Amino acid sequence: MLSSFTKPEWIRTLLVLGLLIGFVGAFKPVVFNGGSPMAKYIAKQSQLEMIAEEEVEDYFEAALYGEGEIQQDVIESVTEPERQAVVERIFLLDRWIVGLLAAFALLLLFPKLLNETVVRHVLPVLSLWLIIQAIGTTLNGGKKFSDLAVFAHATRWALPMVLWLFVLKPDNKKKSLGAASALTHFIVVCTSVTFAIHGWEALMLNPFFQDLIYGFGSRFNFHTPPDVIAALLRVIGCMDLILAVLILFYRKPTVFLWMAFWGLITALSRPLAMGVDAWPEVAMRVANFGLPLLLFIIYRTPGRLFPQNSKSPTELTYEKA
Amino acid sequence: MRKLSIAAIFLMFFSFSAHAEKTELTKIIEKLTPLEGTVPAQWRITWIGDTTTEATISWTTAEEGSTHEVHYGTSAHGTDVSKYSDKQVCQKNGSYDQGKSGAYYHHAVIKGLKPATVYYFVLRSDGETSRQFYFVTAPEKAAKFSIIHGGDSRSGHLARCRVNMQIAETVKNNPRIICLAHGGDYIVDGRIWNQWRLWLSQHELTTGEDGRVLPVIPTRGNHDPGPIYQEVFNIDQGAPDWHTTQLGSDVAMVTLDTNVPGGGAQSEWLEEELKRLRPKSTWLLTQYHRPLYPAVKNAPAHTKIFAPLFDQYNVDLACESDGHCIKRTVPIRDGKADPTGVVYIGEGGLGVGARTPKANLWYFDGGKTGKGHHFMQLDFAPETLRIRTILLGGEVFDDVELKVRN
Repeated sequence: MLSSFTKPEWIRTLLVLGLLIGFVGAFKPVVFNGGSPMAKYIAKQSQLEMIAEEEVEDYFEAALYGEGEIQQDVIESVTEPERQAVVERIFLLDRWIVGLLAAFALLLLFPKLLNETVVRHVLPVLSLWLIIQAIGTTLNGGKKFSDLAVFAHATRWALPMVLWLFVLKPDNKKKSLGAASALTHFIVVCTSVTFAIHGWEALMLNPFFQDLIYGFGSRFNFHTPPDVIAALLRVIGCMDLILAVLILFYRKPTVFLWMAFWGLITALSRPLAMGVDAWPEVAMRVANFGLPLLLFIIYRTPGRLFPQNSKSPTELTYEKA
Repeated sequence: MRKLSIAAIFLMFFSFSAHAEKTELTKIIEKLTPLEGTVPAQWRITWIGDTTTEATISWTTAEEGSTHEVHYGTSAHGTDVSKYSDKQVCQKNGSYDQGKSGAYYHHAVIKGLKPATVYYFVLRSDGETSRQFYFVTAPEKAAKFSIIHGGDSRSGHLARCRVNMQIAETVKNNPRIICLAHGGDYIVDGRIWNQWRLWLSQHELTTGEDGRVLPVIPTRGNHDPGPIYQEVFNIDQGAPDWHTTQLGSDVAMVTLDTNVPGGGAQSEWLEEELKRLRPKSTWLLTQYHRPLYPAVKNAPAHTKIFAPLFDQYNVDLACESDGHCIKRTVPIRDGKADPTGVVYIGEGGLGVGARTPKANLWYFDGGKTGKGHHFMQLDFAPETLRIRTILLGGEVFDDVELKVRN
């Protein structure tokens, strides 16, 4: 059974499915929750620029606190309806970008189209879009640990990249996802980074994580005491950090299988604690368990499809293979 | 020639606009107190606990100074501090941002006040005296009074100033308004003193021309992390940011903190408070920053923790912020529309740019949504609670009345 999943077509199909599910999760808030994080940031900055926020601030600081010189011509040159129109245009563009990316992502369901340059090169664009959104989350701030979003989302934006690199040379079965290939190293590092950040957040008792545990217990009328939640999170944090470091040096299928299982549990913890409405939270975290699962498959099958002891790392990269 | 005329008209128009805006800004600046020496500036009153008998009066000075005191009493004496009946030396003084700001806070907690009474006061720091201010303590019981609720003053300095001035104007026209419940997100980044400094100066604009100061019931928003929030509102560092403000014996506002876990210590405290307050409160309100039934964003994890307790103890009204829009839900109980449920209002519009709410959500079917700078006026009476959403400019966007629970 497992061997059939190690065929490149299966791997590709699983990656495509994972990617699509992940994008449904990422797109849903954009379409239904007012816009992507980066669009929200750009809209906010545009609004501030249109109301000359910085100049007004300088004016106040000069007049009230004697800092700098008073500027004479601070004006709001754009009316409120004009500002709203600009903001609406930003969000309209945001939806168009998302719509186009979603349409291209759907094309990936057709294996033959994966070989088409125009389709497969959308994958790095999807990856870039996810990185930009993570940066947007950081720029918007207002959440604990939002500064770490780019790293916390490493598996999310890595998934399209992995698929892109994987389909660049679809016929090159031996040198695609070998245990020592550069691509596999990339997956391991991204998985490690995501686990490390989540581990750090758990260790620092991220309030949201605390409420996930509390909310889950409440579903069964069990009120988990705060010290128990704190202890649990510290254990989870330590485990995640150990796993993150461990896989950089010691790669065993059982470790990746556990990480895949744990990634699934943590993704499912959202709807389990908050109700089924939180399903996009699972979807957008599909890579958190999808990539460890892929690593499990890679390391579970040495010598079959993927050579375990390849000689030259450069030989294993796609472009140079 | 024609082109020249058009250009001249444009030039005149823009010169006029520039002049008009400059005049507005200049007028605003003229109303504010520059931060210099030990001149008392950035005054505010914080209401946490029993507002019929207690208040915390706070202000800022640019220099540390050595003697900081409030002179107060029930009669007006202008700036003649010797004539006031009472004096309170500040119990707490310090430098904002844990000593890194270069500006100093002074907190005087005054106790033993009488309910529904006008208190006049002046602030004095090392011989520098403020003008005379006054505030009104909450009534003891079953009285008619109003409060204002709003949130998200975090960006848009001019809009923030305009809303503040409109609040002062509204209070002038409706003297029964006794306080402002601020739902949080005062500024963009609560760790930055310079942003708080501006908020505090601009908050002076909520003071009426006659010196009426509107006490604030504070809430911590997601943009207000760090120690300055607690320094501004005289909350002990490390103490939780959830608290109860008792507006007389029969109206209570329970303030929660959506930046920390809802479960555990906070939900245990909330349940105890609601259990204690419900039997004796005609009107039981809650306020917190992140909406449990949001109009723009996703619901936080707190929804599953707080909302069942609100249902269980029949909270009348929940005041929310964070979404930068206007909303009023239908009464909700157990996640469904129910006439016996809790009404959720707010989402914040004290200056920040407006967002478009998701008007087609089930909990707005029978409620109301909109966008624009606004605040909400809540008029309490023994049998009714009237909720009005007042837009910048004074237009009433929404006007509903809740009946007291039997």
